[in-house]
Amino acid sequence: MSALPRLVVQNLSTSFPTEDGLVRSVADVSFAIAPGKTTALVGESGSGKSVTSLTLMRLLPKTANAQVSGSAEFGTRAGRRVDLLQLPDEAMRQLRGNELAMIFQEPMTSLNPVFTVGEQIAESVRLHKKLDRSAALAHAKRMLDLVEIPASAQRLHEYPHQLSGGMRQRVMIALAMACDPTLLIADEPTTALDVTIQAQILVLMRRLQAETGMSILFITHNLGVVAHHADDVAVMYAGRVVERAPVRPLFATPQHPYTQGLLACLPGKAHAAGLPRPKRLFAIRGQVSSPLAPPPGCAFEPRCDQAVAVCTQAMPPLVTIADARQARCVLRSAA
Amino acid sequence: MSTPLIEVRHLKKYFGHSTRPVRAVDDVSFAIQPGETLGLVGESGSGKSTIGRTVLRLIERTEGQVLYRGDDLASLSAERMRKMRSKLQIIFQDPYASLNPKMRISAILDEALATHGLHPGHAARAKRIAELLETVGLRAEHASRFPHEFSGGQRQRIGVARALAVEPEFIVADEPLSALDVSIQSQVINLLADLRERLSLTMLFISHDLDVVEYLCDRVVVLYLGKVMEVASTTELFARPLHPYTQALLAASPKPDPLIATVHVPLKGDIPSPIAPPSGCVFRTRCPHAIDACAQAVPTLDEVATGHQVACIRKELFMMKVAA
Repeated sequence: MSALPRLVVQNLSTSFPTEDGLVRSVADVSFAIAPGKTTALVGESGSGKSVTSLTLMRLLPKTANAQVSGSAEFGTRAGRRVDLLQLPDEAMRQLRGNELAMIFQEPMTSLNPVFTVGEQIAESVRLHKKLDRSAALAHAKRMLDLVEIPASAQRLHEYPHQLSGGMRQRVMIALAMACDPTLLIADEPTTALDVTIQAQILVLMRRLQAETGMSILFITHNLGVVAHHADDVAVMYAGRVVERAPVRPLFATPQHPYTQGLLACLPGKAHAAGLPRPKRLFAIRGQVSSPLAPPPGCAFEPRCDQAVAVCTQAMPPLVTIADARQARCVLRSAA
Repeated sequence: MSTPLIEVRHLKKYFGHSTRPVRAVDDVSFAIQPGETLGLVGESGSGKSTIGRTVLRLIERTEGQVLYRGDDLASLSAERMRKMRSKLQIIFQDPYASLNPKMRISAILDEALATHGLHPGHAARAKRIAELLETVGLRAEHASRFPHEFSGGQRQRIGVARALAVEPEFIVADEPLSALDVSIQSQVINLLADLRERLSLTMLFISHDLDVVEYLCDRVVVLYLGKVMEVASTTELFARPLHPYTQALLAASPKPDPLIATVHVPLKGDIPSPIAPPSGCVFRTRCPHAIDACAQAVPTLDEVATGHQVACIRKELFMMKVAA
């Protein structure tokens, strides 16, 4: 396996023209994912996590007229380095669902209700691996076994509505794994599931990653899941990465005030650290500014307890502050 | 112990066909003392929300009793129940769906006041509405706005203001945080904790988020498939979970710290259908400790320590483990 990262995203920006002006949903986002590793993209609603993943997969609707800039260099199985944002549509179509796979948050709306799950899994291998119908169905059954769906031979011929939420998410994973992808983008894959089912799905994703060596871009708002299932983390706020770090140092010594606040306001954090429960929880005041009227300087400045005068003047750059650690804050100086 | 504010006795709520009903709530009993916050936890389909709504008679129970200060709510006439509702309020999960988009905030709050004939007169109402908005951390001038002009966290504050408008004693909070972002969640948690203290509210707090329950609740009832698995004080439950389901639930919720190793007790399979629940203990089909005897009889909810009740025939096994 090459030492080069599977995916290198640099200065990715996605903007949407609206009646009220240009909305910059993703601005200047850079991160990388090593082969066999998991990078988590963490942030709250509207932080640009999902737009980042849809931009990378080139799945934004044409009607959105998205303006995209930056680059996303992907290492293919054949050993070529391609820019996902520049590839012709046809070449992209050959990668998508094949080397690049995606699972979505809501398994009910992302499966087709009028086809059996077997047919849906078979479709992608017939397309990408040119298998005939019966070989493709046999492959689909193997995929259902891989994701530990009991009675797979029978489930193969069932429709999505006949399955529980956890089973549907397993089918989504089977579908994504069908062509043996090298990069899996998982957009909030366990958010719609109960905790005991979430635990099953996370264990399954780990096992598949260990077996296949695929890289995972894990998009989530759940810091508990990030703590145990990511190698590297990029924290997003208002469309920008505000902090990047390997998972342990990020939780041990968060550098950006937003990351610090996010961790401090978790009710389970004190207990996890063996401390008594605090009388009041830390709360980040206010709310995210409208993307149509961003503050002049740092996007987090209006909510930041540590803000100083210079914060209102310009958006601080993402600077390297220590080995493999970056933060977008004027209070953190470059190493 | 004083008289409980709310006492639920052998509550059952079955939906649908009488020969094969959906047993959403199946023989649940608990009591809530004045000033106490009781947490109701469990996964989807465990009957949490149905209990909350049945307690308030938003849906009628199938069997059992709900006593408010010793009076059975189900026996009240519609007229007396309507009066009683000013004491019993609810905060809903989805702040987008629970506010009428065509009504201004002032009208939403005014409706609650008018229904119960509180603060008669235009000026008195307006004053009370302004006061309510300030109580929940909004401003008086927000009264003239519509719900769509607010963020999710602010809408949830309006939901809280509406529940508080009629000066209730008891509030059912049905997953009031799950639609909110983490940074906004902690604002609303603090608001609920402050108001509870200031107004000495009694709460039934329904949630699937164990960290939030641990933070806000005094005692916890753990539900699975419409039945109570375990009841204990929050400290006791989190330190010494005795039911295998509670143990699995605690282990499955990932702690926000990469240094804490997760002890995985992965439960096999899904929650069974409440139309045909398993015989005996309803949890046995997913329980890692199930034995043949678990299928024989429904385990009783037994007190194992003061205020700590467990419904499991093998509880001695876990009590020994915890003691060791």
